[in-house]
Amino acid sequence: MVKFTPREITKNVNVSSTSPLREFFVLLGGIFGVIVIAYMILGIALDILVERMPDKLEETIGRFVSKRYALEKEPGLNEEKIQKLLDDLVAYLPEDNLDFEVHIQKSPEVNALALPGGHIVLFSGLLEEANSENEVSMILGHELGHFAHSDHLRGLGRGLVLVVISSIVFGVDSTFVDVAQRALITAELKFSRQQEISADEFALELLYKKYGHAGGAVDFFEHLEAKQNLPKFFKFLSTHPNPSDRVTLLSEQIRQNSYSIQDVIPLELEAYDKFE
Amino acid sequence: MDLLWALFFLGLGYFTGTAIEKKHYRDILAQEKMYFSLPVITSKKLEDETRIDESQLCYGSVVISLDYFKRFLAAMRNIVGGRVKSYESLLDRGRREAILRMKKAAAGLDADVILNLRFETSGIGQVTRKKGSIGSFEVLAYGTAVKFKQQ
Repeated sequence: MVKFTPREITKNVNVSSTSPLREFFVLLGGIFGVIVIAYMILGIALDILVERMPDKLEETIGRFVSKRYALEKEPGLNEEKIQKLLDDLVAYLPEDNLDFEVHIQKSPEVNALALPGGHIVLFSGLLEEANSENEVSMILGHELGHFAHSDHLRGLGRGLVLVVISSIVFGVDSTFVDVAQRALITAELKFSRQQEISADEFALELLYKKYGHAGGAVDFFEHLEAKQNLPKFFKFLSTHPNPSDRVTLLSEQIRQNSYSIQDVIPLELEAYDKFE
Repeated sequence: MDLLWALFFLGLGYFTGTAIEKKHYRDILAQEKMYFSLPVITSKKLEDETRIDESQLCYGSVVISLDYFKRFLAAMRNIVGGRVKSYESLLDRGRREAILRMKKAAAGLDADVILNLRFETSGIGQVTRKKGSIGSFEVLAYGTAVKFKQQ
């Protein structure tokens, strides 16, 4: 028989000697690094493309969004009045535009959303907090400012890119994609601080064009400062800058342009049913 | 919140997995020393078969489970490619443990040599495919235990 010499296995050729922890951090860092860089590059490309997006495409997205948010065809309570306020403001915007529609969502929350396709959603809680037409026009003008600067498309685009990359890399069902989808939803609702400030400036100018004075511009935010702790304001406060900062910046803008402050027009709306 | 749980399980998997692996290797090395004198070869036949008194099938099998940390490392490797080092030590332990158990079985039969060693490795349940399931694998080592005539 072949001579058999038993030997201990001292050096294990079948197992690599790298530390698993090191491999963990290197791989994780590497993969996330690549994703972050790709995301940033696509974000920049998106910013450039969004400026050149044709209105027809946005209208198509708008129809899709209407279905997703179940925005009704029948005008809801007070919607016609608010739509009139909106139409008045839109008259001061340049010609080639989306058809802006306001939708009032019955909810105790105080919030306003700008959705692709020219849809502005106001929550009824917000209408109940507003005391004058001017305040509501200020808020509508703010949303119109977001549209004018294509802010909503930028946020949506970036979030979408992240979801698509994650789906390709990790497969559609993975936890990473869930996290990315949640980030997409927050991205839909939240704009950067600079975008918010620009939207406020736009709104003030629009308000002045319609009413001839700047009365009511800061009223809403001043109410907000006093009531910050109530839960119904939570969403609004977490997605917009500090109300006192907005008041400061708007007051500065009013002073610089020497806008006068005159009496506001009170808001007459039908009351909504109370929530339990 | 899910992220926190994932991190917790990753940490748990790393620490328990590493401890279990170290202990397993210590046991394997000790036992390998014990069974040194029982040779295992992959040849199917011996040159001189007149020496053979008895022969019988012997086999050893072991089922080893992945831990969460190793699986996560392998998942990342599945994206970028390269050697899945986290599984290497698992399979090595499985093979060596299976051989040891086979030797134990053969020693129980008073065998002098084990011929025709072969391995089978298979995943139990869904080892790496389904999200969230950890999975385990079995290594089977089998051969022919041969006892020589007394001389």
